Amino acid sequence: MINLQSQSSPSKNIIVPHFVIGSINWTITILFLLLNSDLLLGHHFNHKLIAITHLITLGWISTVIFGAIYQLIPVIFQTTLYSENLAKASFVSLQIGTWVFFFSFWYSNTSIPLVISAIILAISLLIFGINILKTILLSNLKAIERIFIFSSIIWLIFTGIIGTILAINLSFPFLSISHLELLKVHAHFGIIGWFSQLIIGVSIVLFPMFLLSHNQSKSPLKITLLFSNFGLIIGFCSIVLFSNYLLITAFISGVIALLPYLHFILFTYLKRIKKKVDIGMKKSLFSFIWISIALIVSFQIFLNFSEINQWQINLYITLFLLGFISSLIMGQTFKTLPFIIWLSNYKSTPSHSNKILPKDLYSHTILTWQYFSYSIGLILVAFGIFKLNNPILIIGFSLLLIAVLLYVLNIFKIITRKNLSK
Amino acid sequence: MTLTILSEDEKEVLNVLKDVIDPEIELNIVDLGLVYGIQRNSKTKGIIVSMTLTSIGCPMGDVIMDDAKSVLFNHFPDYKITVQFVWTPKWTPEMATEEGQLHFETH
Repeated sequence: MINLQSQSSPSKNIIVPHFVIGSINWTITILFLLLNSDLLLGHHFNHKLIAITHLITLGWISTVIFGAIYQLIPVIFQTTLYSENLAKASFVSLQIGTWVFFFSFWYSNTSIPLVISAIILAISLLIFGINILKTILLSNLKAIERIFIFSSIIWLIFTGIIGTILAINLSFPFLSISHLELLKVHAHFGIIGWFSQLIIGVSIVLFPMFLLSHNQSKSPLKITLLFSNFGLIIGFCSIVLFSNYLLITAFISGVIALLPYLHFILFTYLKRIKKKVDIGMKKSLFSFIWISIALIVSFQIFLNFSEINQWQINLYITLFLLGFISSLIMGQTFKTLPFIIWLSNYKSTPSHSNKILPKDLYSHTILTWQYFSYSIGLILVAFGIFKLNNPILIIGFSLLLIAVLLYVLNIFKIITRKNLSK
Repeated sequence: MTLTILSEDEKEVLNVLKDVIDPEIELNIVDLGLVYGIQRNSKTKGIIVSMTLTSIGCPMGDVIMDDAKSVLFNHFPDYKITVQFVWTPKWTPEMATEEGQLHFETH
């Protein structure tokens, strides 16, 4: 007997705070970036830039992803969340850890609070990881998406452990290998291993479902799974063994991994039955343009490996975090959060009465403005980094701030809507 | 999949099921081609609806099932209503009616 999704969904009180706090953290992050845009013109190993990067990856991306995953796992694996209490514990520790970590780095204070916050964060990620792994293991579903999500959780735990080691090393140096090199490993375990593999695992289920595009074979995605994991392991070995050959192998593996996935998404879109694509999906699909540009930039970094320009690294990270992942999350928010609230508040109203649908819970006008403001803002930010031009960066971040404020406004519109009829 | 020939009584059930909307696709489950079979027995006062979802694990599954039971109960209060999910054959967009195909083109 199949579990029907909303019967086994966790309480909305578990999920909604992730979206609310995540979006507030996101607004604060963009505000910090606007007020300190010149940071993107300098070296990436800067304590303020590291602070902001962690606010993006933990306070915004991971926070919202944790919430979305608690809702989506029952959909994908037809099971129930292993523990709501672990989800609460993970959420609270993630927020405390993120903010103590942020201020420790922002004020360049590498003393005890930084170490403690790193340990709290590692515990938070570990709790989340255990909760999701236990949930997945409750399911009998044999599918490639299960392996992607399983694998992403393993990388999340690894990146958390390495991050904690790096934080301890800043306070009490003990590592024999370069801190900067290990930071690259930490970043790639997080961005490729955790975020990207999770996004792949979830999107190969949701995109065909939302676009009504059912005939794509998932077999080529085995290449993505194999080569992304192989590339990450080889990349780590290249740092430890100081081998450029291994680094080249890791890079090529990463590119090979990405191609079948991009092909899958492209054909899911082209072969969709539902011709009209809503704005939430448009924004999600647009994010794949950013990852494609990030890939081109990474080629350029790789080809000029002996003489890397700092703007290329900053552009690569910006395109990945603000372009690909953030755009995708901001789009998919309007495919998941309205549904969560709708299930909780409105589903008992029969559909033959004039009941509202999930899409009626938010303003499409606000979402459209958010979409354009974010897209133009990001183009300007990318151009500002490329031209090393701070005024362009400021205009770009101003537009991003408007977009994020509109995003927050729509989220509050969704969660505070009370009336049941259109 | 085409529904097997229905009696007038069963067609009445099918028409009632047109009130049930898939909230994500915004199309009724009949034109979407989700209803695979209807059995209506006037003697035993029972209605059994066999239907599927656009994908296994569709997030709207139990909402659609509850709605189907609700509309049928409202129209046939004397009947015992059973709605069951079946997964073979797997739903494909080609199973939608002409109205459904038109909806896909325009929505």
